[in-house]
Formats: sequence, structure tokens, C-alpha cells
Amino acid sequence: MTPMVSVKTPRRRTWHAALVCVVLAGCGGSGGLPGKVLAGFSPTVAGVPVTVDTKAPMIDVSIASRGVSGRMARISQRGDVSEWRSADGIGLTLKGDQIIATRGLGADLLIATAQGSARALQQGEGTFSRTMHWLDGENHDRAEVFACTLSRAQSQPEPSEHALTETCAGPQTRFTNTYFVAKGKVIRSVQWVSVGLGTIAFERR
Amino acid sequence: MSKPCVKQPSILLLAASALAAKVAYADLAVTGPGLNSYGLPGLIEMPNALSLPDAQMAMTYSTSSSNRFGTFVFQATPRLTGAFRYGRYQGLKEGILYDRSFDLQYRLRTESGPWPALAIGLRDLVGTGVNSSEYLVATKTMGAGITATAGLGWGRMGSQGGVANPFGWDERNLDVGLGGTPETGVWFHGPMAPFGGIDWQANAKTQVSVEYSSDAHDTEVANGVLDYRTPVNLGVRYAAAPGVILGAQVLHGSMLAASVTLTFNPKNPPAGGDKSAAPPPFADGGAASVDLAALRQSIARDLKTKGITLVGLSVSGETASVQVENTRYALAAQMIGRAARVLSADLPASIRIFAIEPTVNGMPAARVTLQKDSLTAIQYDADQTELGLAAAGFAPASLGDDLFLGDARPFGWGVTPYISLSLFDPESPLRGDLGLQTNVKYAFSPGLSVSGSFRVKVAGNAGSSDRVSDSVLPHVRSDALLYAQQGENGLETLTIDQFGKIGPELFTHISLGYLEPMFAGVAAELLWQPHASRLSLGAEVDHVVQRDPDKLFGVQDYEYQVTMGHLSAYYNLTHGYQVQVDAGRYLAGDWGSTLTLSRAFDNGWKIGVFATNTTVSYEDFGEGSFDKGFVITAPLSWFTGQPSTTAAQVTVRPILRDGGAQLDLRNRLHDLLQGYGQGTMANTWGSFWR
Repeated sequence: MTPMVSVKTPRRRTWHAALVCVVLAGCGGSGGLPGKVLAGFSPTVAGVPVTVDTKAPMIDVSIASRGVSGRMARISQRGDVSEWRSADGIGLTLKGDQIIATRGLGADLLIATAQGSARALQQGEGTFSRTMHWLDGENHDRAEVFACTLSRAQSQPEPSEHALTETCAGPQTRFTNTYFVAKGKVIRSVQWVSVGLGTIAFERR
Repeated sequence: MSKPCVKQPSILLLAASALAAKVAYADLAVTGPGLNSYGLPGLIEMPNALSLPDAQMAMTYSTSSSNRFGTFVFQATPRLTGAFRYGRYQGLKEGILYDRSFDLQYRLRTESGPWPALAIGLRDLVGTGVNSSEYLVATKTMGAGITATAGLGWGRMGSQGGVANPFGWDERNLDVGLGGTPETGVWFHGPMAPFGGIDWQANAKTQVSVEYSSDAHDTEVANGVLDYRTPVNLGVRYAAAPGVILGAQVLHGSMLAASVTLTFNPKNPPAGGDKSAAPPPFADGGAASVDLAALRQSIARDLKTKGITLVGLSVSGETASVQVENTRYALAAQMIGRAARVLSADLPASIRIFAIEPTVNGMPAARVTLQKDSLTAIQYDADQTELGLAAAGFAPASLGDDLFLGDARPFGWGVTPYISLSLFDPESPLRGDLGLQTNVKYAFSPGLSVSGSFRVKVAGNAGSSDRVSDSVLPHVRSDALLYAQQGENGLETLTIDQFGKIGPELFTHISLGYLEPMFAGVAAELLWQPHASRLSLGAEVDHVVQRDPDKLFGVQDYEYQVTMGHLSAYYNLTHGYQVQVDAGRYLAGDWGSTLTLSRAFDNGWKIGVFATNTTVSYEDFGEGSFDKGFVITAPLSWFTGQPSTTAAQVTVRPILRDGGAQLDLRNRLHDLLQGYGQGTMANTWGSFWR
């Protein structure tokens, strides 16, 4: 049995969330129980724990900008798309080795394309375009199209591995992803997901 | 669809919210147009021609040895800046003057090539006019972090080095009378004077300003509160933290002043967005057969974990019609997405069409039809928002005749803190109470319930004034102080409410009992809200009696009752701008109409201004001349990132009097049903996938 480790958001913002809660809660809840907001409000965790099979495949995930890391279990696989969840409800969607969506983190990646990137990874190099979608502060879908190049990294980590970098430039944003490959398989990677979150690193176990 | 609650004006709440929101920002640029002492883009006392980023809000508090004032500013459109100010001034009359003022500034053109930005502005355009000024101003960026500004001012801003009025409008006789009305007759009248200055962005966090002010402060100098040595002012602004700007100024060579600005933008939630737990993927069906009772049980259970209450379920062929009551999500699209995932996992695979009707207090508010196969096919497609929206069908909802309460507990209660503020009383401009409010609700059916709230004051001074209303009208609002004094522990509301539908897009609401702290009676509403239309129409008729100030059950003290009501039209313009017109009879028996202009954001923020003109003359109305103010709605989810339907609503009036007063009815239909229109759902359809 592998113990589940949850990806925790740090408590840095607790004080202000609590303040707002206390101040706004003077309104009472609506729809359901009045006052429910205060009672059920939890400023730090992403939500309800999900039940996952502890024998399911796992990945280790870390998010540098949040200073958090933890383990996620696979909860579904449909074709080459897999969905992964932490015990506290943070979600990652992979298409092959690419992150195409995140959930439960705030500045989430709504959805992204991965085909060009996946083909280039197989070939070890390539140029292609990627589209990423996010919801902005008003919950409107915003997309950015990136021109990307994937190539072998100049510095290589270990003799048994090699690294590939994917450099993407869009009208507003530039980012670089790194994939570490051993025996023809991506074993870990660092991928950019949004301005607010930065990069997410994950490694298959 | 956030459901604002009825609140007393609570500017503290807003200040706290803004502060909290701001401190969480990590990436807001500290540069950009600085705000002057009056809280608008500008130098020190003088304005410039720049605008804040669209939708930006800021609060500036300025203090000097003679004045203290706070300004709330809102970039209402990309070019129009509006501000409300309240301050304590010395030297403008004998003793101390407490004064409210409104400003407007409009950017006529944007800086381009060699041409500067150009703006026109009105400072203190309604109110008592002590700061009344008009100006034209141009601003140009010069490179090396330098921004130069030059302008022409009238009124106060034409008092230093003024020349003859270019239009020949030499007279500027400001007779403000009761105040509160735009003094259009004096705008751009009287002497005209030039002003100007330079802002220098010394480094990323520091801005230094020098200006030549065209305000001679004649009255303050005459009254001996200002030793005026020079028209030149110096200032420095420092971005102490993201969204927090501190300022220090030397005014006219003799007076020191300081300011602090808190700024935030409703478009930038500090939480970065929704942090609710990741939803499960769409599935290919669960139950083997259509056993309605078993399905109802499993679906209700699974929806409940998502904060959704099942109140109706029927299956016909390939289609399942489902009515769900939302208790968690600020966005209808997100709630529908969560519900659809549960249906895809629990319903038999043979059921391929989901007709989901979000209901509000038992009223199906909209009908969204989804094809399960299409959802499964596009759930990982990068164009999911667009494709999903194209595949979704929007239609009028059913009447909701046979809904059930299901697993929803019929009885609920809660205790919440409250803040109740009384603002702008010249003798004590900020008074307030803090306490606990108990809310109780019992639902007989999804549409019929009894609910109430009781307040117990813990601390505060809201009643500590001996001001007596001098209103010549029935004291329908101006005795609010008596209610604060005698009803500090009292029943806020206790009503029976019946919600229903008499047509696919015709909603009804009847409320009976203690409707609000000052009135009891009966209110009946009818709202026509077509799902795909920008226009909604409403009607309301009320018969109310004034409650006793002890806020218990009595209605004898005033022996005042009135039959009132209004017809309302609501129209959604583009980009979230909304117009509302209410016409009818008000609490004091006066007839008239209210115009409300608002800007609503698809994350639940809303800010609006309103004005009411009725058969009550300006003289009978008293100070302020007519009822007006602004309303701000702030959603809890924006601050925390946690899904929530809770929002705080703050109404700020420069003065609360008896003319043009509206009944403070809870749960008005249009408020409840906002957010379920096709337009809002389409704009936010991406959250279906979140």
C-alpha cells in the first residue's frame, strides 16, 4: 500500500481569506443554509477528497511557485489521455506525456493541445504550434497560440538519460518545458501551465 | 446568480475586502498612473489626462493639518473615471465642514505619436460644491520615466493666476442651496487658470511629482488655516506593497500632507481563479436499467457531494430531465458541468440526452440540453469551450410543477457576524454596530418556505446620536437612528415566501410578514425574463405598514401604511453594462422613477449608480435634493477561490432621507435569477469544464 500524500496549498493566504470570510459572512448564506459559508469554509484545501485506488499508477508532482509537492493517482485512462488526482482534489490531465489541463489550483490550465509536441518528442526534435486556454478573472475563455521548437538540450543530466527542451513563444508569453528521457521514455518533465502557476514538475513512479 | 443579501451601507467591509484582496497580489505592476490627493489620476492637487486600467478601483485617504478625506474611484469604462469623496475640511466655512462630492473625468483622446492624451473633468459636480472645479488637461510621456501634464482649470482650479474667461462667462455664482444637484450653470464659468507639472518614475517603486497648482485656496487662506507661500507643490509616491501606495506631499510651501491608496481590479481575483476540487471525467453510464427510484437516490447522493440538490428527475426514452438547486457555485455553467458529470456516471448508458434545469427556490430558471456522446468526445479537445457551447441547447425551462425536496434538509439555521454602519452624519460621520445574526429557514417545498433573522448587538455606537429627523415627509427612512437605538437587538426579517412560475419565462414571488427592519406587510412580484433576451420586465406591488423602532412584532407606533409598487425594465448592454428603470410609487407615497446604471462582471462583481426623482420637491426632500447613491456587490468566491454563491452588497448614499425610498425586499426575483440567462452562461461556458 502506498500512502497517499496530498498536494497542500500553503497557508500563506489564510489570514486574509479568513478576514474576508468573517466580514462577508455577515450576509449569511443563500440558497441553502444561512451561515453555512462560515461553518463549511476552508481557506486552504482545494475541496472534497476523492477516493482513489491505491494500487493505481502514481506520479510525484511538485509546483515550484507554490512550494508544494505530493503524489497523485490515476483515476481514469481514455485512449492516451489520463486523469490524475491528489487526495485533496487537485487534478492533472495528461495526454501522453504532456500536461493538457490542471484543476483545483486557481490559475489553472483549462485545456491545451499536445499533438505537435508529442510528435516532436517521438522524433527527438521538431517545430509545431500549441494552443493553451485559461479562464481569466471574469471566467472568460482566453487562448494563446504558441510557436514551439523542441530540441535536444545542450547539457545532459546523466549518462543514461537525455533532456529535450521545448521552447514556445506566444504574443504575450514565452516558456520552456524540459523532458528527461531514458530508454526512449519520458521519465520526468517540467512543464509550464499558466502565468499564475508557472511550471509543474512530475515524475512517473 | 450570486445572491446578494440586504445590507446596511458598509464601507468598512469594502475597505477590508479591498485590502485583503490587494495584499494577496504578487504580480501587479506598481507603475502606471499615480493618483493625486483627490484620488484621481494626477499629480498632487492637479489632475492629469490618464485613465486607470479598465475596471480598476482604488481608495485613497489623504490627510493634512486641515483636511482629511477619502476617495473611492472606479474606472467605469476604459475612458470614464468616476469618484465619490467624503471629507472633513477646515477653513472652508466656520468650524468644520463635512462634505461629500462626486467627480467625473473622461479621456477624450489617447496619447499617440506626438499628440498627448487629452481629458476633460468635473470635480465636485454635485454636492455642496466647495471643491467645484472643471478642467481640460493634456498629458504626454516624454521618455526617461517622465510624464508631463498641462491643463486649464475653472472654479477652484481657476483661482491662482486666473485670466478672463475665454467664453465671456465671467460670472460664477455658485448657489448650491440644498446641494446634491449638478450645478451645470456654472461649469467652465469664471476665471480660467493654467496648471501643469511633471511626474518622474524614479524607480520601479517610486514616483516623484512637482506641480504648479492653479488652486489658490482663497477661503482657507482667508480663514487662516493655510500659509500660502507658493503655487508649487512637491510630492512623492511609493509602492509599499502590491496595490498599496503611500504618498507624502508638501503643499504650497508650508503644509505637509500624506496619503495612502489601496487599489484592486475586479478582473483580477487574488485567488487566481476557482480552486474547487477537480471534477471527475465524463463517464459512459452507470446503472444497468431505468429504475427511477434507485436513480433518484444515487444521483441525489452524488450531486450532494458537489453541493447540488436534486429536486426533480424524469426519464423519457433517451432523455433525462433533471432539476437541480445550486447551493455552491457562483456560475451556472460550472454547476451544470458538475451535474452533467454525475449524470454521465449514474444514468444508464442508453440515456444520451441530459436536459438540466437549474432551479432557484423551486423555480426552474433555464433549460440546458446536452448530448452525452458529444461531451465525452470533446472533454479533452482544446476547443471544448466553443464546441461545447455550440452543442448545448438553451430553452425556456419547465414550470417545475412536481419538484420534490429530496434529500435537502427542510430546516436550516446559522449564525453569522454582521456589521451595520451609519455613514456621513456630520456630527459623527462613521458609526456602526457589530454583532451576531441568527438565520433560520424552514422549507415546506422547494418553492415555499418561512425564514427569518434576528440580530443581537455585541458592540457599537450606531445609536449614539441625538439627531432628530426634520423631514416633512412620513419618516419612512429618516428615523433609521431610532431603529438603531431601540432595536439594537431585534427581528430583522420574518417572512413566508412563495416562489413559482406561471409561464416558462414568467416568475412569481409573494412575501408576507416582517419584510425588512422598518416595514412589514405583503409584497408580490412578477418577472418576465426570456432566457435569450437582453430585456427583462418586472412588476411589484406591496402593501406595508411601518414597524415599531424596537424591531419586535409591533406596527403601532407610526400608524403609517402605504400601498406602493413599481414596474421595472432591465436591459443588458454589451460588456456587462446594464440599465435598470423602475417607475412607480415609493414608500413615502411619492410617485417617480429610479434610473440605475451598472457594470456587472462575470465573476459576480457589480457596481452601479442610481438616482431617483419623484413628486417630492427638492425642498421637501431636504439636504441632497433627491435620492441617489451607488451599490457594490462583491462575491466571496472572488476573494477565496472557493466556490460560493455568497456575495456582499453595499449601498452607499450620500444622505438617506424619505423621498424616493424603496422597500428593502429580500430575494427579489431579478437578483435571484441573474446569471441564468443564456448570455452569462455562454460568456462563462469555459467553467462548464472546470
